Amino acid sequence: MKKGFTFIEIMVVAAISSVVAAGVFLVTSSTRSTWNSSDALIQLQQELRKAMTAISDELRETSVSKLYIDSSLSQPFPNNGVSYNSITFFLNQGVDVSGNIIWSTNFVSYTLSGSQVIRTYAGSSKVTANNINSLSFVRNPSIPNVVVINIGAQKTTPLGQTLNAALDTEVAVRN
Amino acid sequence: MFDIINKKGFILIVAYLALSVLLIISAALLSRAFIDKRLFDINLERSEAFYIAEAGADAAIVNLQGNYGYTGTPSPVTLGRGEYESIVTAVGSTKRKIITTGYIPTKNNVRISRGIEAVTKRQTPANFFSNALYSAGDVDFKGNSYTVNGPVVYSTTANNTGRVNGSVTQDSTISPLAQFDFSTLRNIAIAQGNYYSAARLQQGDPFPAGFWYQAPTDSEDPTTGIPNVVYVEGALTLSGNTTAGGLYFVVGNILSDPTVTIDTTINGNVTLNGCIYTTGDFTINGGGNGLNVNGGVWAGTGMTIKGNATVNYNSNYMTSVSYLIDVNNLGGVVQLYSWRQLNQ
Repeated sequence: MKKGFTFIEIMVVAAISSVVAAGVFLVTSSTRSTWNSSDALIQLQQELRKAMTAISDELRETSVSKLYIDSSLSQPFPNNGVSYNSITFFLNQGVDVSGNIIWSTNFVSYTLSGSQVIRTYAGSSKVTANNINSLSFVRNPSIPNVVVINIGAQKTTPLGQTLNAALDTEVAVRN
Repeated sequence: MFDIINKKGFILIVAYLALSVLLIISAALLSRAFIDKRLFDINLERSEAFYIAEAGADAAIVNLQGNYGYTGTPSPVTLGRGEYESIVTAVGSTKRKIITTGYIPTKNNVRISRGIEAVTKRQTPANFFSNALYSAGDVDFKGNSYTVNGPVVYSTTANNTGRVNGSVTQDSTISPLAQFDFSTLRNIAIAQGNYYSAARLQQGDPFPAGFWYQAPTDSEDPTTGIPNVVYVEGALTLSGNTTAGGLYFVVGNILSDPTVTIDTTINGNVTLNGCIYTTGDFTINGGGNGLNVNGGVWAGTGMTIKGNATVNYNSNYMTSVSYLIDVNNLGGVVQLYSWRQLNQ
């Protein structure tokens, strides 16, 4: 007949197991936290890059004479160093047989709505990027054909940690 | 009671379970890493293809600067980890459309390609027709017997400028000397009987005596006349008691060699009523009391004015030349006019 475990043996095993479990928990918890924050930061950077690539690619194809501060087209985008949180412009769609630039009949507009960068073209809107908390465009008098773009992003991880990231670039308007 | 603890093989099952969990986690991590790496590679190659296409467009613009009849790359050109190919076509009379495609890694084995459409136009540099002397190199005035009446612009150095009755301005951006549509200018010269091949130069055929091929119908408006366009495919030397006129392009075989430098020399008592564009050095070895140039001179590499030499700026002639160049869309610097991406 087999003997059972003594109370002392069970207590010792329980104590050792608790220590090991606590250690494992601490390690996994720390790993999870790091994973979550890294993951969130990568996502933020991806959102920033998505927004920046989309805006930069299209902005290159316009002209300083086709830039406006908003979709009302009432005010051309000034080169006075003042920052605006939206931009509207027309796109180069090639040249006609005489070599004159054909401008798009509809304009493209990038604005920040809530935490999303919204691209509007021909009346339809599309989300370009999420988790964005700031978007600004500036033209400086010293380099009037360059638009400086600043985008900021923010995200809170499932563990409650708030992360911030930002991306800046300068785009030369080429037409 | 079901006594699993004491069953043989239990540890093996637990170990397998643990291994399975670890394998699943590892597989998930590896999968994510591979996807991220692939996405990174695609983004990297898209950027590389774009910048290779940009380089191709830049190369085409440089080629157009030397030869506005440039039609593009005959075959893909290797650059970095990829290739580019450019096709250049005429749009209207003054513009050229450049379609450049960047390929990663090659056109025949393409993974990623990006395209750019650039349209260029030619413009004559500012104040190009406003000077007595315009040198894309230096200007060397020797002695105290020369006279220049009119502005002088030079790229590198100018010395002994005390007898210039006009502004003397250094501007490094004027080098290299702006080029023109030499093919069309050559055709105009042929039509006017003013084309001088190397063989005709050797025969010593005289040059036009006056500036006007067709005198202005309105004497107050030089744009109503047509100047003699003289196209010279060799070095030009005018000597002795000679009077000539016209708009001279001393350019050698520039149509086949856009970088060729051809010199022009005036010796002695020569009067040239008009303007001279020479891709190399311009030299006046003055003598006698004649007016050497009554119009203006552009030189590609430098100027030397020595002896009893006189150059006068003639605004009537320059206005006529400027009008001829502009109305026929024949000049000067190739500039980017339109740019867009083709396949984003």
